[in-house]
Amino acid sequence: MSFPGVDTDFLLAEEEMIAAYHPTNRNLFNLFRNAIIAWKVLRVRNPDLIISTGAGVAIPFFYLGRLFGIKTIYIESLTRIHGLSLTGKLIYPVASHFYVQWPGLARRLRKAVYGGQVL
Amino acid sequence: MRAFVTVGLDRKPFLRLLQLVDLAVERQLLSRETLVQCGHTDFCSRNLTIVKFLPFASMLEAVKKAELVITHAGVGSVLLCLQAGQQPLVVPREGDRGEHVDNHQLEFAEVMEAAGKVMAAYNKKEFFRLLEQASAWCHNLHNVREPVLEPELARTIKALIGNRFLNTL
Repeated sequence: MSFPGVDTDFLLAEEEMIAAYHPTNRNLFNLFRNAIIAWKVLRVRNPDLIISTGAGVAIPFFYLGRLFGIKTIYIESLTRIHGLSLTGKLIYPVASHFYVQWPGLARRLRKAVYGGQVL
Repeated sequence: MRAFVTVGLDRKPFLRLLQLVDLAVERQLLSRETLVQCGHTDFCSRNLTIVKFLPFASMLEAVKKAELVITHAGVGSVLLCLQAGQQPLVVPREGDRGEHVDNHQLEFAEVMEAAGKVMAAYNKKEFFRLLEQASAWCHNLHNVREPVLEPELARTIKALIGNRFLNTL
């Protein structure tokens, strides 16, 4: 799942991609529309694992994933150094695995794990 | 100095950076060949070549060929620069100015600057100071390129997926 755009067209040219609605930042209407997509995708495909770096589009997938008993991995953005993003905060309670990219942040959150950076 | 400028994919405008770049061309710190990818920021200037979005492959080329890349402090843009061996000049988007949802780009810029990965400008004065400094270094910039290795996080996630899932599929 991603957003249509010049970057995804190029980087995911060889992949199957399902388009989500955007923007998702603080946008309840698109959250609702993406929740409907998430429900359909998860029911039809029944994946073993959901992995996401956010942002807002990830929220329905993680909550529905939890509901359907699917394992989930969330990776917080490298830009979040001292605290989680809104998406991170919302997903924290339901993710099976929760990665952050700064050791200091991992120490402050019981469930968060530092596993290196994308750099 | 021939620069490539990008403000990322964010829907919120980042007019402040494009105005600084425009001014830098007028002050002849940047060349008129400077290419600007303005994304969702509407901006017009006869000093600059402005495109909304380049095809991604062309953008990669532009990043590699530029003498300096100027960008917001977004993780996608910064990573792209580092992977292309560029040390970008970043100007963080500020939440208080309506340039992003909050001030996380400020924190990211500070940390990346402290790690020596980027040059960061938090105001107009610093922007022009760093541009002058970068022009002086311009010829040397291309010597600091290093190959990109697989990041530690990618190995961590592969190991996690491999152990817990791939073996059972």
